[in-house]
Amino acid sequence: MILIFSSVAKQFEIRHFMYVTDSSPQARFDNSLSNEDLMISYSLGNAQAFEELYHRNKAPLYRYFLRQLGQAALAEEFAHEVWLRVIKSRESYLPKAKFTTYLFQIAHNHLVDYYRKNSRIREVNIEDNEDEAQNTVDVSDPVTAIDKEKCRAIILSLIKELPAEQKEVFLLKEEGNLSIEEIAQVVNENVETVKSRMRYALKKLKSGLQPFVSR
Amino acid sequence: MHENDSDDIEKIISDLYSDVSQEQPSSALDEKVLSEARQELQQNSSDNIKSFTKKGGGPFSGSWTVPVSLAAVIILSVTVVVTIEKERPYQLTSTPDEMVIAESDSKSDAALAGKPLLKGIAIEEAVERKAVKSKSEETLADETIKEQEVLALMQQVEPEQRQLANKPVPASEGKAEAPVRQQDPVSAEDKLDKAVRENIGSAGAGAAGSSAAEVEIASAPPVLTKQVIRTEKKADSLADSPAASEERAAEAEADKMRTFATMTKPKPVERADVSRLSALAKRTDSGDVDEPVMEQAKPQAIQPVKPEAVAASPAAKLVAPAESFNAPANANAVEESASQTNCSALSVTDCLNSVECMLESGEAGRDYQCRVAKNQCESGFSQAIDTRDTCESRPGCKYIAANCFCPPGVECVCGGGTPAVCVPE
Repeated sequence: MILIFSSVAKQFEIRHFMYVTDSSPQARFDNSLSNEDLMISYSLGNAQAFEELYHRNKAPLYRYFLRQLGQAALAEEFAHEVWLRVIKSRESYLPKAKFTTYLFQIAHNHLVDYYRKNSRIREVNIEDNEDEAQNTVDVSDPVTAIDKEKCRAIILSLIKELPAEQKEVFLLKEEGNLSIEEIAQVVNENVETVKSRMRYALKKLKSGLQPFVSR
Repeated sequence: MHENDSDDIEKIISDLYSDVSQEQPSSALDEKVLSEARQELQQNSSDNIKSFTKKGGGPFSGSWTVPVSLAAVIILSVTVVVTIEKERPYQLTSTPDEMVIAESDSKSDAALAGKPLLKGIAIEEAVERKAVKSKSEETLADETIKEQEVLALMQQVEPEQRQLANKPVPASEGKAEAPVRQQDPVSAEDKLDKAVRENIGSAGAGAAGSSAAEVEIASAPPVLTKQVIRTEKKADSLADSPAASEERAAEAEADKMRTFATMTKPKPVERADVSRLSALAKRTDSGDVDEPVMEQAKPQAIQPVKPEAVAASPAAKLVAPAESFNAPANANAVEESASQTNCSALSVTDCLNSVECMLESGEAGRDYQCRVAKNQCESGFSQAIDTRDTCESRPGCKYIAANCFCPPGVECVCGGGTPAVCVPE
């Protein structure tokens, strides 16, 4: 009996929350509406809310995959699948955490599944990328660091050189704008581990960028 | 200082990364995702319309259906259980002791004989049910014949009993000449029971494949055996013609009353007093009243008591006037006053057993009053013991069977009606 009443109360709570939230299709969206509000509005049938939500988060998600996978086509495919999953699961979405946490949680799971299926490919890609990075970037050369394009290439190559766990933590912080706690939630690790990974990642980047930064 | 440098480097790295990280997904991906999002909404809205139409759009449609259904089922189940529990009064009416006795195996005859009467009824029913279940139809047919013979024997024995009971006692004959029923009420019953037991025993022994229940019936106490026989006789009478059903019903009432009289077993003091009063009244009419009556009428079951104690007891109301039996002129007054006092003071059971009192229902049909017998038909007629034959053997008397009358201590289908009476035609 208690379970029944709790279930009924839960249903009522969700409906009540959805009713309170402005979900009219004609609603104008600005920065005052959070990602969570937009997602709820979309789950109630507002397509424009999703459009706004997508435009806010499409680039970070795409870059997250791009930095991890190194291929634009694969990154687009993964981003597409993640957005499809968001669309499919809109009715069961509950604003328990930030929408970006929810989004990158899906992305992380997707990536883990991919690595699990293609572990050999990943190893080869990593080796190739490392070779590529060593061939294309010469961090110690102060002349190449002057140019902005070259600086960009250096940063990207340094990120590519990072181990996968450190790279993911760094990307989640920079692209998803997540806190250490939220990153820990996404990667399903404790906070100290995440902090440690982040520290090592920054240390490596700093050492790679030291000549450019000191200048 | 070192931490500040670290934070600065982290900030610089973050700014550098945000400057260089400008990649965007292709517009094709944007269109694809957005179009799928719109399609999903349209499909969902059409599904919602379909499901709303399909389910009738009531307040309990959609996600409310399952919880509301479960709640309804649980409430209904609880209601049914509570209702069933409330509609079981019969479980509360039987004491646990009786239930155990009724359901227990009735193999121990000695234990059965020692039980109280109410428990004995439950045992009778249990034995009866067991006997009916275990007997085959052929055995039942054979037993029915035997039982009819037993009943005929009973009918022969009972008039003899009544004649002995109603016979006045000559004053000079003393204790040995007292009526058989009063002097030795058990002996007549024993005679009857012995005959019944023999008859049933022979029937049980002769039947092929007789069960243990039959043996139990044959060895059961007399009251049990008679009860079983009467019940089965009632069952047989259901198959008879409707013309005889009324007579059978009256006979059944009489059987019930006889059973009641056997069960109640009135106290010897009162029985003796009633018979003594009857004898005294007759002797007073003839002027033959003398001292030995007092001694003769004392029952065997009573210890001799002092005259002062007797005078104080209720029975003394019957006995005390006998002290003035030396004066014949006062005899009628003594009888009248004694009878009036006796009848009004008697309980329903004693009134039914009494031959000098009549139990009649009041105007309401439920208040019973015990009054003195008014005429020769009522006088000498025991409503609990005597039958139609006893009543109608007297000239000018008519027997009216009991109508839905239930003696105290007996479980009946109906009650509150008039008891059996013997009235002038």
